[in-house]
Amino acid sequence: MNDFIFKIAGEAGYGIASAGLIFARTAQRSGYFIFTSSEYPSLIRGGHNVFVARIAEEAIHSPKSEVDFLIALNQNAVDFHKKELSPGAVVILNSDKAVDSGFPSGVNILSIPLIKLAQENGGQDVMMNNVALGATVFLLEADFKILESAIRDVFSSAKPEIIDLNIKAARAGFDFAKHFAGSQTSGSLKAKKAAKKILISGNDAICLGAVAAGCKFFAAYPMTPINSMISYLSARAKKLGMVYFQPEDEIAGINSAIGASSAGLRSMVATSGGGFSLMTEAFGLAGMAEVPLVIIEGQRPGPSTGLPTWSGQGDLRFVLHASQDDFPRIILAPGDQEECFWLTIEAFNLADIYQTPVIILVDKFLCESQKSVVAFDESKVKINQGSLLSKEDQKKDYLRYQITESGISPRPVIGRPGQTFIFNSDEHDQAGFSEESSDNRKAMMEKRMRKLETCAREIPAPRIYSEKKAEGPEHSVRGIEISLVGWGSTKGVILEAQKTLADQGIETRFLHLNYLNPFPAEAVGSFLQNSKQILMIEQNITGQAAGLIREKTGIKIENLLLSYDGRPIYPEEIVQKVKEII
Amino acid sequence: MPREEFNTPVKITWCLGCGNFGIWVALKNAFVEMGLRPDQIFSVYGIGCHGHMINYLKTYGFEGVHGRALPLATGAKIANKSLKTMAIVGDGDQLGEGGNHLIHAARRNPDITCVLHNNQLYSLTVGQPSPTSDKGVKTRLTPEGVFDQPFNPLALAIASGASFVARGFAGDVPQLTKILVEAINHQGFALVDVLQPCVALNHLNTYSWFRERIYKLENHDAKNKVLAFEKSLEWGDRIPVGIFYREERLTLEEQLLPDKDAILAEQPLGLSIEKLLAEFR
Repeated sequence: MNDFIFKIAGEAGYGIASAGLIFARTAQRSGYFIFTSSEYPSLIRGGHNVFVARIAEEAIHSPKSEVDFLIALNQNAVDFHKKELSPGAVVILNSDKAVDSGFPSGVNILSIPLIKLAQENGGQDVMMNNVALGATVFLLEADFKILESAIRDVFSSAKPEIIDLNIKAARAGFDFAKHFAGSQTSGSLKAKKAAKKILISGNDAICLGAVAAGCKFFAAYPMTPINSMISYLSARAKKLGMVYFQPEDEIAGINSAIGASSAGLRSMVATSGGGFSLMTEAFGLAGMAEVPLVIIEGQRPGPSTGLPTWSGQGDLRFVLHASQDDFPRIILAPGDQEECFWLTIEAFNLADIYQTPVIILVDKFLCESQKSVVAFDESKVKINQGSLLSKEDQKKDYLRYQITESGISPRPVIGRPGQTFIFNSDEHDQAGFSEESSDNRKAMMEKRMRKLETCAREIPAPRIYSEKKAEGPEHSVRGIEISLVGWGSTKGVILEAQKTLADQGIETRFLHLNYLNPFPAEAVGSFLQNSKQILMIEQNITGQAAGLIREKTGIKIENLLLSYDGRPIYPEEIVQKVKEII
Repeated sequence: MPREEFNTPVKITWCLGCGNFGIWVALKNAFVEMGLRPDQIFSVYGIGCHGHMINYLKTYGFEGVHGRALPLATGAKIANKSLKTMAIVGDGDQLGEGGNHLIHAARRNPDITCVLHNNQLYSLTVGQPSPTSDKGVKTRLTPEGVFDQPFNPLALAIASGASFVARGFAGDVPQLTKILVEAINHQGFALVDVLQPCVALNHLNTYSWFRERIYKLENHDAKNKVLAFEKSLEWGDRIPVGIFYREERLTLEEQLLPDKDAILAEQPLGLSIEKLLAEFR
């Protein structure tokens, strides 16, 4: 197995997430590329939890649907996942909690009394995870020392004796497997030399991007799927010279960030669709008063509470139109963990340059999935604060809302010694004073909206990814048969589908949108005009981005692959849909 | 600095005799008395007649959305702790739309002075009853009289943990000035409830109605929270004004800022993430 899926499943509250992280770290430190995702219901204990990792020798971008290695901690784990197993898959079955209820033939089962072994080694029941990981490491021929280091790091805040018990439990699992399955190993996780990578989630990548960009004020009311951003930044805020502010609600969150920004801080809020619903009025305030602000919107399926711990892309139309009347808004949709980092930095720059709110539209899948990536090169981080006035220039005369050709006015900061000014949510004149005359209103609306036109000229064209078919005489020369279009977090899955299709002799092009407003209409239009067949892939029921494309380019995309069950899209679904079309 | 330094060129459109004038003058008096310059003050406004003051009072200013002045002011105060930060709000604005923020600002204790223009009506929208309208008051919209109990901003603030709670009267500018100076000098969250007659629409709570009832709190122990609470409940034939409650407590900024002696907004951008990346290996 040089590209396989590892899954651990059991009851919520049994430390599945930390066991998954230990496994992923072990695999990464052994030299492999990892992609992880988790599934959990909105419960702390008792629900069914799943952690999935894909491990490969080459860079990977998404999960796959078939499972090659399963740790089943209880009967639900057996019953729910036995149909997902690939031929020849390996299962570690917790014989203390589950029985073989009919695995497909060809599956190799190793029954281990995980709880009993944990107890015998002086540990608690929950340490059964590490027993299972010890056995896994033996079966995949990984280095036990690497597992040990991963356990130490993941449990670094625990007492030393607890860490030792966890390692002892892992050793017991390792020895058990060696004794009972000595000859059934595969070298899938054998340590090898590889470039140093980091294993990072979308949320963590956004946090690092914010830190690198100089974000100094972060306000977020707890809400899945952005909670791990709060955990990450609140724990480190003082060390990083920034503030995490926990507001009483999302309304206070966005208003406090607008206040912090008005006084000169790079400021960010994070929420999901429900919280953003509460923020919409102040979202418009930031647009009207021309205050830079970065908003992270981690989508999950709605409407209302919806599927709180699952994923979707149903908020595109919402963020495009939220709040009354028109004002310039910039919407970015990173496709993967690297883009989460770089587009967060870009978002802070765009917010400063255009003095307007910037939304980063992500989703639960991207927020919480982890991926192995080459560590971000911070020498490439560029900070651009646009027309921010220097302290000296703020002492001279300026007009806060000066009408300019680009729409961009000088940006002074509240609180500096010098000429005072006002931010105004009422329509205002160039100095900021309330002014309702017809001429002023038109001039100010046009000035604000001109910023979006200026921005549209500056943004990069969307990237097009081409995948050529494998060389060989058996393939006919048909050229590119289908163009794929996606936005945001479906990028990885589509890239994986392209590879599979190329292996099967089908060449594809894929246009990935990560700037959704201003919309790169010209580039998208010419891409689509030069396509024979087009397939749009997105995770909502109405084809929101397909509709946006039609609105902006006049082109109607006929083939839509729409997924709205809250689950990730798998490359296999795209491959099948493409084959149906061509 | 002369009081005129806090004026703007904009023509004032409040009704003649509006209580807003008294509050506006008292604020300017307080700034002058404290030796403050316009660029040392940040005034955040809600929406309502009071909010028009952004055009008439020369300080750094921000007119936000209805009810949300306090969180906006809190963010700015965190960014620049040297700013004298004022939340200039209305009764419908702060107690109706923004009630939740008042409770939490009181708990947190940011060094902000909240000046509540309390005219007991939604006047800008021509006279709907507000949270502080007295029970039974008949307005054009409530021919049977207001059904709800009035909201008591002082009692709520004391119960929620505000560290300075006072009430003034827009018709007594010298006393209101004194109260505002004390409130702005107070290190922490200060609520100043200002009784503000609305000459156009409130025909019950008029200047003379208040003058007949108001008395100044004297020989009052403002450190006694129970006593302060008791006094805050007094309303009707006799209405106390003055400082009800004050206590010294750490402010939000003192606890939250990475360096409590530095202005966060003046710290340089750009931070190495090298060490942070290492945690993900």
